[in-house]
Amino acid sequence: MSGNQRNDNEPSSRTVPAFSDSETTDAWNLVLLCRNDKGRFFPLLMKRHYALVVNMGYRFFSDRGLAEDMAQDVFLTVYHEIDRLQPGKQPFVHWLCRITSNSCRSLYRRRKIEQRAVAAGKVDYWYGDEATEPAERIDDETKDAIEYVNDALQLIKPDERMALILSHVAELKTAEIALMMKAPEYTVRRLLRRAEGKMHKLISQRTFGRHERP
Amino acid sequence: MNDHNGDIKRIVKKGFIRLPVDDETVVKAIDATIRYGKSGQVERKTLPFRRLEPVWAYALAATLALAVGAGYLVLRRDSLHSGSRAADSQVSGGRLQPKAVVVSYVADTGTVDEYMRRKGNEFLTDGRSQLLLAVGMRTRTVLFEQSDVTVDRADSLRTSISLRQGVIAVDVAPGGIDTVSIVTAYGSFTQLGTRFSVSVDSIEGASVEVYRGSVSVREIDGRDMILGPGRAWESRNGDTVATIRRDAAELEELERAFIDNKLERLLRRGPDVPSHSTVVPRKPLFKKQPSTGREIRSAAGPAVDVVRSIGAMADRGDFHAIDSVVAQLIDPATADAIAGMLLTLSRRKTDSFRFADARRLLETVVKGGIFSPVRREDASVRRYMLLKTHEETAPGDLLKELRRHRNLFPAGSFGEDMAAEEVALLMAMKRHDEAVAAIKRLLHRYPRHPQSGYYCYLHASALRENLHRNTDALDGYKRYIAAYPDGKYGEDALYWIIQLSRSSGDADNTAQYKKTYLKRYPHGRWIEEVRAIDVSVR
Repeated sequence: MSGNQRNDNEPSSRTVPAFSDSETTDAWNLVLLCRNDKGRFFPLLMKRHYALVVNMGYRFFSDRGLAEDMAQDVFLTVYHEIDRLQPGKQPFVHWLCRITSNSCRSLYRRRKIEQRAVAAGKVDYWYGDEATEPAERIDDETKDAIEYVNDALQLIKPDERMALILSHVAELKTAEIALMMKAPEYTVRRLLRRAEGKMHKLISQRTFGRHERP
Repeated sequence: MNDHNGDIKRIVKKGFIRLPVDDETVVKAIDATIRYGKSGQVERKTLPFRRLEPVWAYALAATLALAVGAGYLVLRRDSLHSGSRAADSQVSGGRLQPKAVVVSYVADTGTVDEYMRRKGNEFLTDGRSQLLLAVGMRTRTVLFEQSDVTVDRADSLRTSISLRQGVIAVDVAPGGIDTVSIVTAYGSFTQLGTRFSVSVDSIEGASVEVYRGSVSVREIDGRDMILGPGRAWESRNGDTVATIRRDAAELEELERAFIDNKLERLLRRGPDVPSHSTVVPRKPLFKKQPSTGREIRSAAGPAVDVVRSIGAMADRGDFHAIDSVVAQLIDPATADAIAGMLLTLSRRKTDSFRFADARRLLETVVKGGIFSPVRREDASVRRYMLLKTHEETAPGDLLKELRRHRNLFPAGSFGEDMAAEEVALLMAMKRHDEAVAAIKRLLHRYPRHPQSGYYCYLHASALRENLHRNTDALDGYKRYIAAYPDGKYGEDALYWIIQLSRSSGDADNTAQYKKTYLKRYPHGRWIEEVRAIDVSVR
């Protein structure tokens, strides 16, 4: 599968991915601790997972501020729901990814018209064609790669975009994504293949100058 | 070819790198989350609150408060993309998200950055400066001297400003659905009306004065109250001192101090009168075409002249002149650049509550045949939202506007959303026949609409409830069940199928669907009723 660095050719009977017990247990332990002393342990939980959620949102919206807003909503949900969470076989991060995915989708729907049309909307101002200042910590080649990937993601359908994000950013396997999306694994595999094909084509067009950016 | 694929793979791998988030951002996010989370917990306690004054509708006050003088509201927007952006901006690819726009400012000395902005969405004024901010959808806030605020959130649902120190006055324009809150260490204050001020002092505590409308106060220990106009609340040393009724003269004097501050005087004087304000360089609105390096050209004259002239015309409100400039455009690239500028100018007008001007500018773009369909459609949607959100337009006029948009852009990219808007409007206007037809059109044209299930169900319900066309409604519910077997309205749809089948005398159908319901929803909300249904022929 082009672009996919992991081996997804697993036996189809293996639908639940295996995680090391310690990794899963440790995350759920923290959840249980949060219930007893939210003030003390919730910051730890959030610190551990904040970057992942922001990165997922950033890739989905290609917008850092919106990603941070979305991340805050996600963690507010975690804050309120944590007392009702039951530790399970799946890692906590799966649940978090599912909430993040749903938040991204609902924010996308809400913002689709708002983004362009709200009278006080700061679309061009906030999301538009302003040049960004490059960070000092990342080399130019990576910055360009990030820009290509982000631009390509914006031209891909939201479902496919989220599947790519779950695969590449959250680093989930196809089976895990299938569990999260409540879809058969072969459907997710097809979705990913299609999305990656589109992404490759868009990046290819851009980097090798065959077409102007669509 | 293999090298090419390999290069693409490398780009994808690098491009998806997980970007780090600096500790300061995380810490701030944690603080904000816990703060909002706790306030959410307090809400759930359903504490009683004391209503001190009847809640006023806040339709009038912002207009009155803001409409001062004839040459009002010439505002300079400061660019937030100053030299400090590089430091503020997070990891590469992230774009700054200014949530507050500096509409205007007054200061005696110093540069913009020194006294106006610390970092990101934090604002700090020194002992000699005041700052006017446009925040969120419809909030205008004056920071007085030595004030320190952070704009925590500003979107279509909520505007939240943390006041750490100093005094701010808040004006909220009518018509929005977002809540506007000021959060302090002593309590949070949510606008129900339009004009109030909040002050925080580490020794004195916090106080809020309400001039127009009402403000909801939530104290730090969870008590709620609503303050009406003329009321004030004070907190000192952690205790609520009182909810005070100011006498009319005192209140008038206080309000005058907030209205007649040096910032408002500057705004009333207008830009021709020299002020002590520091000039802030404008962010350039245009750039050269990156690929060809062409300058933008226009039949009306050199590009720069055209751009400047349009900006100046918009400031003067000379829209006919803008129209005639646009009519002379021949170069599509120039036209596109000018369309972008007009959209930006319309947004600025909206931010300063000059809705009629904003609408006029958008109209120029919509009508401009030289502009690209994308720009024109964008302007048309913005115009519609402006009418809907800010100008409290009557539903009938909104519908006309919406249909005008549909006629102009029948295959536009906002077709789905505008179709949904049309349905909502028609239902609100109780024009159910047309609403049903609109839903049918929407489902036919946009079968993959994210809420197609909802609309399918709504179609059937409108037929049954509003138009009493039970046979059509029955078909509609059956279509819903078939198309959305796991849809969230499945239980209700089944229930109505049973009822409608029964009332039409179809015993077989009634029995069949009753069986399905009992099997699928053994603990459903209609279970008792469904069980009691007699499936024999009426």
